[in-house]
Amino acid sequence: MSSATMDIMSNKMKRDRWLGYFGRLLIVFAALAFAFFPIIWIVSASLNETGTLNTQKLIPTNAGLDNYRTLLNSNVHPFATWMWNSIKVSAITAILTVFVCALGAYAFSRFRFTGRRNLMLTIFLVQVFPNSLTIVATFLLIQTIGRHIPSFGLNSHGGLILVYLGGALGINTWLMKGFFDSIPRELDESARIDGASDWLIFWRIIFPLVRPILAVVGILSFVGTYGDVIIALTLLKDKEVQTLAIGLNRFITDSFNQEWGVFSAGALIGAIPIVIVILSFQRFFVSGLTEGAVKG
Amino acid sequence: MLRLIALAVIDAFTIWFVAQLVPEGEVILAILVAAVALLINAAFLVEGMYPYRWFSPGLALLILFIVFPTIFTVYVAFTNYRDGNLLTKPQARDVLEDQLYLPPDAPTYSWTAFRSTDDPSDYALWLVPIQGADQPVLATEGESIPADEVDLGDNTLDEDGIPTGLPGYEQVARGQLLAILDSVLSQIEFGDPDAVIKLSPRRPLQEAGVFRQKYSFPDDDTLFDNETGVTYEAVKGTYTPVDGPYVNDEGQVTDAEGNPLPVVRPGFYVVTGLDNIKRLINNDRIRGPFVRVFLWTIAHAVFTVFVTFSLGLFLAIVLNAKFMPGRAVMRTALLVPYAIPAFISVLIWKGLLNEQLGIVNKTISSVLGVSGPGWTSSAMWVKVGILMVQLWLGFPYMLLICTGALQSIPNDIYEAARVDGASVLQQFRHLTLPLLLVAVGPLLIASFAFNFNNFTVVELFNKGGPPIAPDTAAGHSDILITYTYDLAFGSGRGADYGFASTITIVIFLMVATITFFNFRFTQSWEEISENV
Repeated sequence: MSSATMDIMSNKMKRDRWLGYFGRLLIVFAALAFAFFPIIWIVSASLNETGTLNTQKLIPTNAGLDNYRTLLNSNVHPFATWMWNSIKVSAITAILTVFVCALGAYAFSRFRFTGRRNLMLTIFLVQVFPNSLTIVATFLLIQTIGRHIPSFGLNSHGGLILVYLGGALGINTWLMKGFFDSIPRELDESARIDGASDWLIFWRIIFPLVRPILAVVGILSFVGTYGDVIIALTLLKDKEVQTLAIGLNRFITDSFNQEWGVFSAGALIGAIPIVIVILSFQRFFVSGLTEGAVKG
Repeated sequence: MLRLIALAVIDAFTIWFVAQLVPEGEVILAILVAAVALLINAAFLVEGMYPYRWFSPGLALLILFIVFPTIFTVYVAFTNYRDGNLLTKPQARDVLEDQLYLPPDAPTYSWTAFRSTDDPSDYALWLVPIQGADQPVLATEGESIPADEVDLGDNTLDEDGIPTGLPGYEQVARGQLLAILDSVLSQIEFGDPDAVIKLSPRRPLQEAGVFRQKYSFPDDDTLFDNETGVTYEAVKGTYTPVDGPYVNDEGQVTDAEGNPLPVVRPGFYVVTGLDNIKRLINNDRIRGPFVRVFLWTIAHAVFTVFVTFSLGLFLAIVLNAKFMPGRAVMRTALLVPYAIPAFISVLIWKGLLNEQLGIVNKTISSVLGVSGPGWTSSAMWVKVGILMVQLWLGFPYMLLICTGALQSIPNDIYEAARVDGASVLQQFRHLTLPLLLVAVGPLLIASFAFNFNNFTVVELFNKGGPPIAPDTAAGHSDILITYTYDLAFGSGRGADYGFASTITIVIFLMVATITFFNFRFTQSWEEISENV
């Protein structure tokens, strides 16, 4: 092969590479435009003081925070209440989920007992049928409970949280059990020799050591609960008790065009905390999702 | 000790709750609640069941809120649990036994209303006989006191026999009467529970009368209307007229004018066997829409996985070239749509795709000069719209998992392929794609299963609409889970929990099948079983 042909070849490769580079960049920018167009559009809408869907332009002609003020002070759409309800319900669900699962994971990890294997497999299989599928029966159940104990009935956060907790065991227990297994048993043994009970070992020794997995399960549970629509929509009827996922929908059904600006402000405020959480804990969500876990 | 007290509290609560449930006819729930309590007791009292203590909160919640709804769904699917038959038998009987009527020969009174000065919602009637009664009576809510036993204090009776005042009460002024007549006074049952006195429905301002129980139950399944003399028989939980004073030539029970009598509500729900399934199979007006919903459910999930995976994989390959600067930043930026809660993204898209006012259609009409597609009103475009939203929501996740999978494919096999003269396309088809699918296959199936029941996207985008036909709950963009939701809770058509549960069983079967194949193809069940 002569040096001339070598030159031609390497020039061709360089050209291909440049073409490839620009082509790729073009594709990525197109993808970024697709991904960010709706987001930029509602940021603009939320700042547009005219506030209707019809009159919106990309760069608002009279930018201001009026929509945000309206959003936080509206009595028709109590946004702050919805946001608080969502955070409250999700946080309580997350904390209780972590606790309930940690108890189970500890027992699976440390005890050997009859039925252990079957119980683990059952818990794994049951989550294939989440209670969003049995929403009709769940509704009837909560209605019946509410006839006798109203604070756990329809239209109550108590009932909603109980339903969410029904699905607490499941993949979360498995995630935790794996982590618990990695804590050396020698720690338990030495504590036991010192006279510590199982509970003390769990609470004082294991619990602090497994904090990372507790955080993961807690975050997964929080995000999943925050994004739930079907259960909250079925169980909560009054706007004062509804969560953000249901409340935000009211803007759409009530008077979409006029309230587009206010809705956009609400959508942004409602999304930002979750976006931050997910982007900062990216890898948990990906591995969590690979197990088929939450994210509504 | 603390443990025993806690157990005692749980047991006391269980006994109270079960005692409430059984008379209402909520037998399945009562049995499960009792069983859960028994398990908790065993876990804490039987030495061999010690480890189960640690599961008791989680398992109790699992049994009550996952296992019970699943069992109950299957049960309800075989009943006629729907509007008109929403109660259990004892509950329906309670409601019917509370209904009253005013017999034509009942004792009647003219009345004067008094309001308690302590509690403005507490009323009493001073009653002066019109017919059939012999002396005036003071009727409070729950008690009738003969007038001569009433302590009038300093007050006297006027010429109509009405006291000028009552201790602890003030007379309701004539001007206020009309305002509270229908909403308050007519609703109150005055006097003894055995001989309830209410305002006459025919002449409420003039008369009050002694009411009687409208329905009695000669036997468990028979209802007798004391007012009209009609006998009703419970047919599949609905009290249907079978005999009465007027029966026409066709054997129908009618009223005096010859109009056939309706059934009596409320009825109760009973096991009707395969009725719901037969409706689904035999009734064209139900089967047709159902089949369309079923097919779209599958198509929606397949297309969603296909489009998100295609775009995700494409971008992953594009971004996988090592010479691309800032790849990591771009990948994270592309992840943003995935990080926004879906319920928010769908609503935003609903605004962008608004048919008249949304930016998408406005751009189309200003650039192309034609009106944009009917994203919410057209049977086809609503599906395109949903898939577009799904693409936006889902491609970042696919990009992420494909990136991971691509990076795990060893580079030297590509070297080998190049040496053998394989083109870039051939490398993709015969190396990248197969290797990638092995790695992400289970995730694609999981994504399919998730989107099979993606209530959030379909319900929030267009509530499953537009409707397939005016008289059906099914819509063109409905998937099974949103169809179920409409059947049970949709407004205007009446709840049909029995039929909704039948559809839920179809969902169960599909989910079970998907799960089975996922385990089968990936051998993940073996992995799981080994990890126990």
